[in-house]
Amino acid sequence: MPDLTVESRQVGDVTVISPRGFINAHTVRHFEQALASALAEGNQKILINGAGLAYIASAGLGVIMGTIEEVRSRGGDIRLAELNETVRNIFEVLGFNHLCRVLSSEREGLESYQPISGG
Amino acid sequence: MELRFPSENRYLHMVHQLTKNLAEATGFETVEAEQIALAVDEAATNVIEHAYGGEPGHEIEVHFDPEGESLDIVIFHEGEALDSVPVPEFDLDKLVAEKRKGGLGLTIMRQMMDKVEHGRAGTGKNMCVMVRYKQKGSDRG
Repeated sequence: MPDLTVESRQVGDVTVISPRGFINAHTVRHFEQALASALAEGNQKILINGAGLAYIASAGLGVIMGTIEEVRSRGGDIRLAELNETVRNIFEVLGFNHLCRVLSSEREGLESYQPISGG
Repeated sequence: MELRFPSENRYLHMVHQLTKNLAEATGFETVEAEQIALAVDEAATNVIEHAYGGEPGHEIEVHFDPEGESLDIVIFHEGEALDSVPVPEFDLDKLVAEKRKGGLGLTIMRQMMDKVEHGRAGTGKNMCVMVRYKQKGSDRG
C-alpha cells in the first residue's frame, strides 16, 4: 500500500484533488505535484477532498500556504472538504481554518464555487 | 522505551504511528495522541532536514517516558544544534503573504506539546525535549 496516492479529477471548472494516505515530508511531493499540475493547466478552483487523508504535517500545510495567495490573485481559491477530526484539529490549532474555507462535504465544496444567483 | 532509526524521511510515518499508539496506550484521547504524534513527526523532520542537512546514514534516537504526570519524549541526535536558530513568533498571514512554505514545524511542536526545549545531553548529543501533561480539558480542541 503506497503511503500517499493523489487522485485529481475535474468537476465542471473545479479540480477535486483527493489525497489518500498521509502527507508528510516524505510524501509531500505527490501532493505538491498534483496541485502544481492543476494550476499549470489553468485550473484555479481547487477543492481538496480530505476523506482519505489520515493526517497532514507541516510539509503539506506549507504547500497550501505557499500557493494560496497566488491562486487567489488569479481569482481562484483552495478549499477543503471532508476533513477527519485529526486534520480538522490541526487546521484549527494553527488557524488554517481562517486561511482556507473548510466545508463538510465535497458537494458543499463544489457548491461553494458556484456564483450566487440573483433573485 | 527507545526507538532508533536512520535519518531518512521514509521512517517518519513509523515514528508517527508508534508515538500515536504509545500516547493512546498511555491514556490520551485519539485527537490528543494524534497531536503528540504530529509534534514528534515534526521534531524528527527537523532533525533529518536541518540538523543532519537531509543526509541519510545518521542515527536518530527517540526516548519515550510515559510514567508519571506526563508523556516525556526526548529526541537525540548528533547533527547541528537546533536551539541557536531564532524562531519568530508564528504569524500565518505573514507566512502566506511571503509565500513561505516552511516555518511551521516548530510552531506545531509548541502548539501540540506543553513544553519544547532544545539543549545538549550529558552524552554530548543534541536533544529536543517535549512534554505533554496527562490532564483533561485541553484547550487544543
